[in-house]
Amino acid sequence: MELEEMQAAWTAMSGELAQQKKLTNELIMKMTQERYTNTWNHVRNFEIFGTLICYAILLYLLFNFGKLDTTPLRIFGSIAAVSLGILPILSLKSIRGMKEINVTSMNIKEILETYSKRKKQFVFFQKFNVFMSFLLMLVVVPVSGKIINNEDLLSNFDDKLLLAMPIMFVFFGLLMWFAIYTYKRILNKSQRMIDEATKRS
Amino acid sequence: MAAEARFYQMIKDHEGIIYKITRAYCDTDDDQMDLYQEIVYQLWKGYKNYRGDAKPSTWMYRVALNTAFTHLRKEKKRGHKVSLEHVQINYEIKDNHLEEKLAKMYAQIKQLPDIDKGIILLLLEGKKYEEIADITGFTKSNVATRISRTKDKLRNRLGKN
Repeated sequence: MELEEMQAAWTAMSGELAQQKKLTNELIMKMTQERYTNTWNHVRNFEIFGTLICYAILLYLLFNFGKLDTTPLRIFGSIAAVSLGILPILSLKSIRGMKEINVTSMNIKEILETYSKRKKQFVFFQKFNVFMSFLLMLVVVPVSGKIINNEDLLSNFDDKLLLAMPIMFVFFGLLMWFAIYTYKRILNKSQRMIDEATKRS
Repeated sequence: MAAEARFYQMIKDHEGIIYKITRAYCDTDDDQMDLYQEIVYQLWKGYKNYRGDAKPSTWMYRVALNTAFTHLRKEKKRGHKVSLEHVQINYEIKDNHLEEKLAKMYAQIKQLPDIDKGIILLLLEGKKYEEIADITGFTKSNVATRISRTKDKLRNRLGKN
């Protein structure tokens, strides 16, 4: 189909559509409200759930911080507290950054550039999060051992822990490899998109 | 007239724009309705900042295309759809011959990359190169290049069919 033929069909379609008034005030209102509720609920549930878990553990840790009676345990406890405090903030910040691209005030080119920039930030935050989670997992074992069982795993390094550590390292090694591979793929895709958008502009 | 009433009127006056864009960017009725609803929502969200410096149809095209562009990327990734049980809108092209032509036209448009797809929709809508450049953010010469490339692609496909 040539462009001229398309233009004729388009004009005819515009004429037909102009005759059809399907939207009413009520329908528009219903659509915006339904979408608003859905979007908000989706974001709210996801964000609140993760944040609550982290902050509940953080509170529990802070209330029981006094039980950590050696310097290494206190250092581990502080690392765990900082990780638990900043992990949800970083996650929310990166996820919100991706969600809150304002389509009403930008043009397509700006959207693509912003999208790509935010995606890079998102990937950076996620990589950092994986690293922080790993750190958290390492420090949380002796800290929780002391708080829950009053057992100093750092001083009494037993066989069970010795066996658990390599498994933990392998598991996290795989997780990190997967995360880096996935994020690299996202970045490449994002770069291709921006290249396509800015090509010859 | 209150802002809300003005918004309703503007959407109703130009509702065809939303249909035309959703049909180009979606393959199924459900996806089309989902995008339709998202566009109306984004227009509603953005209306408070609309100062009237662009024509309503131009502003609507800009928001609708931007929404199509970003929404479809998110949905592809998320594979998630909101419930649409309350909202169903069916536009009918009564002239069968015209509908056949439109189906053929949209099939060709759908094969284009997303950005070129948007540019060609604006061109079909009768927008000038300057306006298309303003809506998309690309330079006028880039728009011209893209249109020329798209015309070639369409011609080549016509040759193959």
